[in-house]
Amino acid sequence: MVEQITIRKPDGGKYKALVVDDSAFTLKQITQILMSADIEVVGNAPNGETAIRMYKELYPNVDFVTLDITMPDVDGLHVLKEIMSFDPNAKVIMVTALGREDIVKTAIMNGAKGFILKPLDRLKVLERIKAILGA
Amino acid sequence: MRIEYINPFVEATFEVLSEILKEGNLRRGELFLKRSPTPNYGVSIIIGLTGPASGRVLLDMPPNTAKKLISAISGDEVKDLNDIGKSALGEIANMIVGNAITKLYKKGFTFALTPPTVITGNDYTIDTPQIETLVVPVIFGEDKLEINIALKEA
Repeated sequence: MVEQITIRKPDGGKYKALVVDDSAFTLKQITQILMSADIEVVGNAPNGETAIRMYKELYPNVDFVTLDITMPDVDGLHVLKEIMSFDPNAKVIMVTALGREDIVKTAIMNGAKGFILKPLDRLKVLERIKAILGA
Repeated sequence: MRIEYINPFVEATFEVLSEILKEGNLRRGELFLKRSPTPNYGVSIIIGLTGPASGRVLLDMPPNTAKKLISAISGDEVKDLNDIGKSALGEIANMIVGNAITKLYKKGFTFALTPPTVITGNDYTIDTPQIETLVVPVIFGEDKLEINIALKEA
């Protein structure tokens, strides 16, 4: 039986998320995990360039971003810097593969609020997001 | 090919597959070398590497093993190898090779990787001219996949 977890803002409103990943599978998986916690996914970006454009278009109607680090062309660290430069209060959560936590240190120094690890475990992902959002 | 390059890929494969399959019952088969193109098992994921050595890592497995891995990582039973399933296989290869190059980085070797390419079907061979390929079989239950590591010093 799937454990029900709901993540809501302190005022009871739904969080809005932008999901960024070059893998169609992971994009779908993260979207499903977030939606299972009643989080609204307002955008799916399959590459870094689209992610930067979508964040600017969605702003201020996006509460946080899940951002894959390893993407071809414009990678996650570049996207992070662009988003933080546009919105210094952005909440960006990096997504990276098991064992690559060291790369996350650079992301944290550039403003990322935390990270989640692949392979994705629904409960672990939601607990981590809940802690990062302070929900 | 330097022996220091091999173990990180084997360790990373075991760590990532154990996490995905939620089982610790994986074992390594006998290593062997390939010198020429050989028939494959039907599903291959290739990731290119550049750095102190260049070449590629290829994960080769039968369709049933691929479906088992996709089912395990997605949480849904998979019957066909559709585009989302192939994307999942690419992600698994990314996790393994990404994990391995982090281990290599900690040993002082900095590698970069290319996005994964997933190939399915039986009517093809993979040729890596002038690069010897080390094959590491990984066995779990009735399933087997092979890690093909072909790296040549730059």
